[in-house]
This record gives sequence, structure tokens and C-alpha cells, in this order.
Amino acid sequence: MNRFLAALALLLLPSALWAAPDGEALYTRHCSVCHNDNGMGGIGLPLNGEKLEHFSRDYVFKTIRNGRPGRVMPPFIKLSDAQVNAIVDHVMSWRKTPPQRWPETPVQGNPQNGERLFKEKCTACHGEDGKSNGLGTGVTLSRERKFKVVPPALNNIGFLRSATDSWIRYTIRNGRPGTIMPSQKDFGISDQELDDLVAYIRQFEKKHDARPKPEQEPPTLVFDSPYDFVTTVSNLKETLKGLNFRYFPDRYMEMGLAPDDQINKKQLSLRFCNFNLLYKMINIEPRLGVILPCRVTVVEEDDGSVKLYLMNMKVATQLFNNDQLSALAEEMHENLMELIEEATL
Amino acid sequence: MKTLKTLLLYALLVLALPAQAENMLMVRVHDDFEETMIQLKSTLNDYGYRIAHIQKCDGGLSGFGYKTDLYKSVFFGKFQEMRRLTREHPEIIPYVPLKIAVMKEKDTVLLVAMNPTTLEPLFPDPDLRIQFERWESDIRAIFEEMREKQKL
Ligand code: HEC
Ligand code: HEC
Repeated sequence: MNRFLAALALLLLPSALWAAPDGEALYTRHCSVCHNDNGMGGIGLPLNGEKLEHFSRDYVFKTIRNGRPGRVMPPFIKLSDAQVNAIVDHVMSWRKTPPQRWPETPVQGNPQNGERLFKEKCTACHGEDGKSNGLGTGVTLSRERKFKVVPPALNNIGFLRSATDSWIRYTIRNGRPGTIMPSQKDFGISDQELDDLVAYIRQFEKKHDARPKPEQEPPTLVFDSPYDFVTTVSNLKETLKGLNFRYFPDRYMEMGLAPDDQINKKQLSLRFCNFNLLYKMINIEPRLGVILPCRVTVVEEDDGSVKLYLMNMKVATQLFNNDQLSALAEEMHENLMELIEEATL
Repeated sequence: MKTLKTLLLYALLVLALPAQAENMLMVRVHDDFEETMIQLKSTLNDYGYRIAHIQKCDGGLSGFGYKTDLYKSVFFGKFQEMRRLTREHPEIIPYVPLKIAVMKEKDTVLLVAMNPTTLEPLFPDPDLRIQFERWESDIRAIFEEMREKQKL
């Protein structure tokens, strides 16, 4: 037995510890879901084409590690350095020229003047306070949007921790050839003004650190109904009609999982959507279907009491790492609370 | 020998760890939408799940002038598991049956599921924890098979 274990260990350890990671496979698994094949872009920004010639290895490496908190891309903390490096090598292999480097030295400028310039030249695309003026992220696939490529958020802590001052300056000076991002010439600004813009963008980092942390809420909201099962269900249906929700056929929780005569008829889900809100939300987050449609499940307990169960949208939407979506979740939450209040009055 | 055993256990643990703690499990499949739906149904069945129902989403959205490609949600589960969990842990009700969103993006199809283990800190319960982990490993395996089965 011991010999068997030793053999197994010898067999497993080398492959686990020393095999060179396959950058292409890792890219396919972890990145292509958002950035698409060969970096064509999807929920994530395009990574290919001319813009890639202006990226450093270091920027891509750090972006993978930091992600973009609140802007969909997760931080990849569990990948080893070797794995991240393999992904960076794979992405960089799409370039035509060898990678460049940008110095770490900070850029000195006047942030107040930078702010003035930013408001004048940048907010149309990058939004108030650099939070992006587009809905959602990445490129338009099935979604209709104002921007073909949604301008990234520049106040994002993941971006700020990955990009050096000198590279941000370089990006504003050259623009992003092949994209709508203009260059210094188009902006008509001086070299000093470039520095001022960098100083302003760098200040977002401090503002981020000062942001309050969201309160922890329960993932499920549970309400008691003062009525019996049948009355509760019919109250909910009446209220749904009044509130202009689009309403789908009811389903018992266990429906479809067993023959109809075996399923529990005391757990009924009412399913609905507020399409106006949904339209906005899916524009921002195409993966929203993962938590849709909205539903209230009415359950009769053994003692005859009736409870309502709802997903807490404020918590569930946090899983998307998408600040724009979380903002709309408030509105959705209020919609749902109105429904429950009226139906259980 | 004891150290070797510990080492071995450690090596196995390292291998068993998810490659990365993601909130969303996702896979991109290079196939047409209908073919992907057929493959998904049979793969779910292979893993012992039943499809409770399939919700069409594109119709409702295009009715509002929204330009969508195909978009469907597949609800799936296991009868006994569902019965036991909703009885013993009713707070899980809004999160079951499990769901996979299937959406067309140009010539590919994106499959997305909420990673059940991201619910762990929200439902601190050892029984649920085991359940979440089992679901995560099933969904990962199902997505892996979908990737392997795609026509290239
Ligand atoms: C017409 C819209 C537009 C304007 C105006 C604009 N940008 Fe951009 N910017 C973009 C887009 C789009 C991208 C991303 C392009 C891509 O990579 O595909 C971008 C990228 C950037 C980036 C790189 C960020 C990242 O995450 O990679 C920086 C830095 C930047 N812009 C700064 C500025 C500044 C500063 C101004 C004003 C002086 C400005 N931009 C004005 C559209 C714009
Ligand atoms: C869940 C979706 C998602 C995943 C997975 C993801 N990204 Fe991103 N990524 C994004 C989004 C969205 C942005 C742009 C954020 C913004 O618009 O503010 C981005 C930005 C980037 C940027 C900066 C691009 C630029 O123009 O400055 C790089 C580089 C990048 N991602 C690389 C990767 C790599 C490599 C992986 C795999 C290890 C990966 N991403 C995984 C969504 C994702």
C-alpha cells in the first residue's frame, strides 16, 4: 500500500509542479468567455489588433491579477505566476512587434487643471468621474448600444493599479489607433496638459479607497402572509397585473422533475418580468438570464402558515461584479417590495 | 512514510482546488444554437439531472424592440435533492432549480451559470456547503464536456 502511495505521489507531483502551463488553453478557459476567440471582444474589451502593439506585458499581467472590480472582469488570484505568464505570452503572441516597456516614474501634473480638461474632452465617452458613459462593457454583439466599443472606466481600481502613469500618458498622447479613442493631436492639448490629465486620473485611486463598503444583506427574503395559500396566490396575481409586470405561467417548484402526481403542490412559483427595467439591465449585463425571471415562491408550511420566498436582487446582482447593474438592482428591489407589500396587506 | 502520505494528500488537494474562484461559470461553444441546446440536454441527463423546463427569453425582449440573438434559460435539477433541500433549507428556494443561460454571440454560443459555491458565505451551513460544492463540480464537468463535444 505504502509503495503504491509512493508511486502515485511520484506520478502526480512532477506533472502538477513542473509541467509548463499551456497559455492558449488557459486563455480559452479563463478569458475567451469574455474577450472571445483571439481577443475579438465580447463582454470584455477587444484585446487584439493595433491596440495590442501599445500594451506592455506588465499591464496585461497586472490586469489579470487585479481584474476590474465593479467592471465585470474578476481578479484571477488562484492562477500561479507561471500560468498568468503563459496567458500573457499567448496574448502577446498576437502582436507584430516585440513588447515595449514604460518607466514606473510618476508623472507630475496639476490635477485641478486635469479635471477641467477631463470634463471638456473625456466625459462624453469616459463619463462623469471616469466611470464610463456607456451602458455595460466590451463590444456590441447582440445588444444595441450607443458605443460600438464601450469606453472603459478610468476610475477603476483594477485599471489604476495595473497601469503606470507613463503608460496612461502615452495612451492619451497616441490615442488607441483602430478605435474611437482620440489622440493628443485630436484633443489639441499641450504636453503639460497631458501630465495634468494623468494627475487627475491618478486621483481616482484615493476616491476609491474612501468609498463605503456595501452592507451585507441576506441572500433570500422571507415574508409571512396573513392569508391562506390560495388567497395569497390570487392576491399576488392581482397585484402583478396592477403593477404592469409581464407575467409567465405559474410553476410548482418540483414541476418537470417528477411525474405531476408526485410533486408538491404547496410550493408555487409566480414568475414575472418588468420588461422596461429588464431591457436596461440586459444591456448592461447580458448574462442576467442566470437570475431571471423574477419570481415569488409561495409555500404552505405543515402548520398551514404561508410564507413567500424571494431572491434578494441586491445580493444576487453583486455576483456579476458590475456596478451599473447593482445600481439598477435597487430599483428592481423596490419594485418587488411594492408587490409583496400590496399582496400581503 | 507519514510525511509522504501528507505530501500526497496535499498534492491531491492542490489538484482538486478549483482553478479559480469565479462567481460565474462560463464556457464558449463553437456550434450553432440548436445543436448546443441538444448537446446540453443530453449532457445534463448524463450527469443525472432532469430538465425542469426551458424558458425562452428572446421573444419577450424583441417584443420591446430589443435586438437579441437567441437567448434561453435551462432549468434543471434532481427531484429528491430538490424535495430534501427545500424542506430542510427553505432559504435556498429562490436559487433552485439550477439554471444555465444559453446565449448566442455571433457564431458561438455562451453558456453561463451562477457558481453555486459563491453562495457558501451567504448560507453558512455544512450540509449546504457540500451540496454547493457538488453542484459546482458537476457544472464545471458539464461545461468541460460541452467544450469537448463542440464541432470545430
Ligand atoms: C470618442 C470617445 C472617447 C473619448 C472622447 C476619449 N476616449 Fe479614451 N477611450 C475610448 C475607448 C473606446 C477606449 C477603449 C478602446 C479599446 O481599447 O478598444 C478608450 C481607452 C482609454 C484609455 C485606456 C483605458 C483602458 O482601460 O485600457 C485611457 C487611459 C483613456 N482612454 C483616456 C482618455 C482621456 C484622458 C480622454 C480625454 C482627454 C479620453 N480618453 C477621451 C474612447 C474615448
Ligand atoms: C467576466 C468577463 C471577463 C473575463 C473572464 C476576463 N475579462 Fe478582461 N476585461 C473584461 C472587461 C469588461 C474589461 C473592461 C473593463 C471596463 O470596460 O472598464 C476587461 C479588460 C481587460 C484588459 C484591459 C484592456 C484594455 O484595453 O486596457 C485586459 C488586458 C484583459 N481584460 C485581459 C483579460 C485576460 C487575459 C483574461 C483571462 C485571464 C480576462 N481578461 C478575463 C471582462 C473580462
